[in-house]
Amino acid sequence: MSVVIKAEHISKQYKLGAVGISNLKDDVQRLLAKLRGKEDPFLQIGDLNSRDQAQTGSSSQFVWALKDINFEINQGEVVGIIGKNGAGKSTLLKILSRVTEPTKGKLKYKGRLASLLEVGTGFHPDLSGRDNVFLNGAILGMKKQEIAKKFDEIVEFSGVAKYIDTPVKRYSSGMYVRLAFAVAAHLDPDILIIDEVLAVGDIEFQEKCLGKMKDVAGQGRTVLFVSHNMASIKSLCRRGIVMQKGTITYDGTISDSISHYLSGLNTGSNSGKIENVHRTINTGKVFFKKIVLENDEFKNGNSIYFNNNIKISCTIEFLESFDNVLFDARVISADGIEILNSMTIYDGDFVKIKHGFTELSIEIENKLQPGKYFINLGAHLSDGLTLDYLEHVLEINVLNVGKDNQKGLIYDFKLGYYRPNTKWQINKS
Amino acid sequence: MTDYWNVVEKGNAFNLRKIFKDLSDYRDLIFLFFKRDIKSSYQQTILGPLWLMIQPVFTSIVFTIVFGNIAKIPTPANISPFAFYLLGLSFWNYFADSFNKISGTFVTNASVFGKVYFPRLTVPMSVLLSGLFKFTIQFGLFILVFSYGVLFQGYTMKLNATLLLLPFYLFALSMFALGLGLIVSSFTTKYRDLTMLVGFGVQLLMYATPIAYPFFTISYSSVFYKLLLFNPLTGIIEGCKYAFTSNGLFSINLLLADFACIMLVMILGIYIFSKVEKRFMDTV
Repeated sequence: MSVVIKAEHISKQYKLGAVGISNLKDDVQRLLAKLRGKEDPFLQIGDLNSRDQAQTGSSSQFVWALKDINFEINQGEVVGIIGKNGAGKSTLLKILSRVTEPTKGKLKYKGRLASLLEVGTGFHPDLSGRDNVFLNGAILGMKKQEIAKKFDEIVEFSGVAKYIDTPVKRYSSGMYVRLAFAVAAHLDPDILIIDEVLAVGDIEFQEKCLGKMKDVAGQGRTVLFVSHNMASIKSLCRRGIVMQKGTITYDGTISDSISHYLSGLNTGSNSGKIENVHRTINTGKVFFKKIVLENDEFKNGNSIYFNNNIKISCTIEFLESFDNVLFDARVISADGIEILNSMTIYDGDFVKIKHGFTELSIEIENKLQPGKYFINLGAHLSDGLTLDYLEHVLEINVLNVGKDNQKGLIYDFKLGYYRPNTKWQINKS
Repeated sequence: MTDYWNVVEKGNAFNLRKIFKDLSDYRDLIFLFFKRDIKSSYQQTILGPLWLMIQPVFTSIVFTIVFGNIAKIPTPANISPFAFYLLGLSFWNYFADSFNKISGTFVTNASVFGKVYFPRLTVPMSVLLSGLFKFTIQFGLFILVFSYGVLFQGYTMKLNATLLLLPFYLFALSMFALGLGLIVSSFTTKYRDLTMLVGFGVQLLMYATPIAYPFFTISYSSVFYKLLLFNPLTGIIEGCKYAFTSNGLFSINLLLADFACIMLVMILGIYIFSKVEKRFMDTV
């Protein structure tokens, strides 16, 4: 196996704030340093990119979006890059696709490289679908002949054959995106870089795209794929790279990477006071304060027996009174798939809650296969407004034995997520 | 698969040969950009490319009135004043439009440049191509008016062998528009100040170029005479006029000096552009 991509100490620095007269001052300083044969003075300073910078009170105007990134990728590998928003994934992809250069370090690659950071780059609304296929294909690096050869295939894949001579501004957004993806899907690069473009189109088309990408990966091409959709990453990639605050924190098989990533999110997913990192949506009126796994079999081990119901209690503070509240609880698997959901309105009505503290207890029937799961909790209003939403707020380990020694998992590998009560009937003849 | 490493790092060496090779690899894209520009400009118009003729016709009419009738600036005797202005304008428009559009390369294409890599020079090249297309139409109009003057208005035709230099003049104008445009476009990625200047600067430059008046109406002793000679466009525009009227300034030495200056500007433009294109996304 030969190495086709090498990242050597790639770093990227950005300056915060708008471009103004202060930039001119910095530029002059930089120039002076260069003339005197010294290193750029601003490369010495700067913080790592972090979402909670406001809290840590950093004052530097410079931020390292990437700091010392090193990796090698072999020919034919399909690599998923995962990480929170702001971890540096997109900056890395921008450098890999040569849209911008690294501040320090080197990127080396072999062969033809194509990147797909967005579908339909360069589509012109006034031109027909046909013209746009050629234009977009050429922007992505195809020769006119190549596009002409694949034109019928592209149109068939997109399913807009009837409208191919109509200006694309008349297209529905779905048609537009399908045509755009179809062009990109028929690129034949040695290395393909893809950023979250699968999150478009309807389910049927998404499956088709995923299938197409699997084909591409199967042809011995090297693929780098960024997505927040753990299911598609898992089905597509073999290797995963986890990024956090501009550095690589894990590089290994895709399942290990995903669990590493999710456990990274899981800072303090324990019983007790709720940390702010879990809070993804909040309107400032309602706060979940405390969560406790009532039937934790080992103190703070977050473990419950197989086939034993999950019992959670929490304390919620309401800074305002509402008369149409609903609560929802979700169970998320370790690889990021939402498995179960329950809401108070499934067997009741919206509830009135007065200003002050409220205690809530939830009991969820547990038919989960043994393994690690997370709980998401939310409080919403009847019109769909979310008051407070917490992701991965509690980790739950379903043990592989039941309380009465009932067997959880017989085999070493995982068999789905859920084990319903099943009646088997075997007729001997 | 190729077996050599492509390297991306800060400050790759400037390699003119590689730049031209990339451009030739992406010539299909240049042509498609050109097609896009032409097609999209005249979508949903009834007159279509006819609009290209209307602008110079009206400007020439205004020039005839203002410079010819009011200011009474003389034009060569063997061509109608209207045709004289049209001739200058067709070349000038080619230069000015191309320069204007190329100066906006980075700012107007930021969204595309930010998503996918292709040699950025393809965009200015396609601007030159669409400029040539427009020039052909406007120049065709001039030929019509010129022939009409000779056939029906009794002007004597005085063409000469320097007509063969027309392609060279066009090439020089293209390279100058490219060079200047690339320089401006590179400087405007971070500081937009130059955009302000270019807007009216091009208009002013037209008056510092013998478009609306023949060069020899400027008296030899005036400061403006010498100043005009420093404008690399003077020799070229005068050359274009000389080819059709055998009247005006034609000097090989001046042309060579102008051309040398233009090539210098062009190389400098490509150099700055190639430095800036790698990091402009961070500041644009």
